[in-house]
Amino acid sequence: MEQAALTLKSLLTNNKENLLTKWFHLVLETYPKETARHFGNQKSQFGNPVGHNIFEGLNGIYDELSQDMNEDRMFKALDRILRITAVQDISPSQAVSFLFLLKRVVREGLAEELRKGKVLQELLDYEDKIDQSILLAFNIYLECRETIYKMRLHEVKTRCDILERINQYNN
Amino acid sequence: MAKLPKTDELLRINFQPPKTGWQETPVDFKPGTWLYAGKAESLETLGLANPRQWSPEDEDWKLPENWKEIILEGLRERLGKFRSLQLFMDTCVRCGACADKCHFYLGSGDPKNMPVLRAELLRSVYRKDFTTAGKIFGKFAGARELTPAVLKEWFYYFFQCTECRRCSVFCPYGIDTAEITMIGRELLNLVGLNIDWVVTPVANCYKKGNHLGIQPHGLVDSFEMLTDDIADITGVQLDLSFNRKGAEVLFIPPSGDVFADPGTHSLMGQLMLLHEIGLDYTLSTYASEGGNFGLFTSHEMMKRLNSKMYAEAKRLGVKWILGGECGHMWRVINQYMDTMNGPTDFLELPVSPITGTRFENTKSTKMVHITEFTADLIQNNKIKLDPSRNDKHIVTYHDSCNPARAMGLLEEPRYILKNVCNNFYEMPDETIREKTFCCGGGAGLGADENMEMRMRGGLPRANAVKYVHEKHGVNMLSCVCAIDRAVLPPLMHYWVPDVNVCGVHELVGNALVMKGEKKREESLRFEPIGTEEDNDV
Repeated sequence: MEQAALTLKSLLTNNKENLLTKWFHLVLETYPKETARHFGNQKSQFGNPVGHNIFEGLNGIYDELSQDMNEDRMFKALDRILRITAVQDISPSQAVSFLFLLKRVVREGLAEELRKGKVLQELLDYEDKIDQSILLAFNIYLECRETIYKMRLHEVKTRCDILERINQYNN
Repeated sequence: MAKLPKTDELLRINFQPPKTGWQETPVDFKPGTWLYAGKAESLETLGLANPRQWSPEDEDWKLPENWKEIILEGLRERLGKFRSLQLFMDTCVRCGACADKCHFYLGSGDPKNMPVLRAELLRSVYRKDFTTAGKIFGKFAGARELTPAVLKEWFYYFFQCTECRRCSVFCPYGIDTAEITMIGRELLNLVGLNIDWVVTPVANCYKKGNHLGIQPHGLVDSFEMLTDDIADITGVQLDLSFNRKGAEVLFIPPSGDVFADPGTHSLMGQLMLLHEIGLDYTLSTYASEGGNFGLFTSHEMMKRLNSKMYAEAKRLGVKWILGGECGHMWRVINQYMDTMNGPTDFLELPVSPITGTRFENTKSTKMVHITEFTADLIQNNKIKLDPSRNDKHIVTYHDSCNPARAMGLLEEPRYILKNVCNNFYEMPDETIREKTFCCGGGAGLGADENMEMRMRGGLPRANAVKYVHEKHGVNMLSCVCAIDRAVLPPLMHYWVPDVNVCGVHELVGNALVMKGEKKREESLRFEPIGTEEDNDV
């Protein structure tokens, strides 16, 4: 019975608050200090859209990885974060780096329990799922960037159309 | 063969931002964050300093040799001229109340987008050259030397502020950071540093009367296209007049609405309304621009472009002026026009000929906002409306920064919306009215090359729209600003793809029951009228 209680799944569920908070703060550390402090303040979802969406996104990702992953829900949770990081002043690798941090959080946060229990296989499976989500994140990131480029192109085309019409009128 | 990074190099990700202080962290001009430089020919048209070909990416910005002297002398002159600037330079206690109120900071996390730090970019130079403490203690007193790197930083961040004034709402001292940006831009202009998305529209406006550079005959043609569309949709033919002397009212919309969707639909709604009530008004091909990008250049340029409104009103002999759905136009009109180009002793206090209402609030400017005018018509039951024609729209309202914060236009658009559509929901309190979040593209930043920056700046607005979209199914974001109508559609496309954007008077035009109209089957967008369910059948 005691062994059963020590599955990785139950460890992740029981320690969710602690691990999620650690993960959230590690992610925020990628921002300048003053900004990390502000983004970490969860008082207002409208006054702090980046912090709020990152937290809710991480929360969703954490749940999906802890359970049987639902791809649609996972996509939405990842999109919530990547749509933001895709337009911020960071490199593509930094934009998806928050998922790598989860490995560190789980390994360090559950170090003792992981050593005691027989959950190596489960941990490897879990980390495989994180890797899968990183691949998905890469797709989402690129899709966001492509959307930006398409929007730029659309604006340029619209402006050309308008200028063409103005030239016609002016002749 | 190109040198490929090794696996461990690829995996070495630096999670930490630079450790240097803000004064020592130089600007990196990455694509997507800055705007193209002003074209030399536009600068020449306007008589602006240092016309040349250059790019913010270049190492050498081809500044005049004595650029530093010019900037410092310019600052000295403005400190003497504008008492507000002197106060803003001296009074900030860095309490931080403004820090997390700027949409660019909230979206980017870049500390130099905090209004306090944006102002500090200028203030640090002010301290160094204009205060005793700064002269003696230098960096310890928050002072720093004006160098080319500092100038580049000014350019980067003063053209990353939309002058929306949200931060000033929260400042306990009333420091208006938008005015600091305005002065910053004025100083940059003295040495030829400006952006093309501002300077070329200003040159067009100066030469041809509107930002788009449409000549008089072109303008008449484009208005006729709108009246043709109205005739197709309603069966009613409008007869517009241009430059007509002796008309009672001069109507000045922003030129963006003449050409770009969805602004055109909103302008159609306004023209239909004015026709329906039989207002004796004229349009002008000379004062053919309500907007004023001069505001984003310098006080002198703003005055120069604005002057045509009164000049034309005087020439045509109208009694008062009616203005269209525009944003910054109303800041210029409400806060500066009277003192810049007044007094308007040749105009009368605006009185609605339909309702008899005296617009006492416009006593000094003699210029009425179209939503004030329309709200008054509705309140006095002078127009017939069928709000069910807008039933497929679940509407929210974005307070455009300038009408909301610079003229307190908060209730009239809402009153209209509640009368022309059946589904209206407000966004959360902290994101509307005087606390409204900017679209991210105001003050000349609505270009395409800075799209990434626009998405950052627009995130807080989009985040609130997303909330009402998910909670109430909102699918239409209405506004009263031409720049909003250009900038919000891509913002929605990126953050909340199922939400469209419209002007308030587009919905008025849809709902307006006109005398002699045919059965309305299409909206002003030529889309089937009615609910989504009706259209599915």
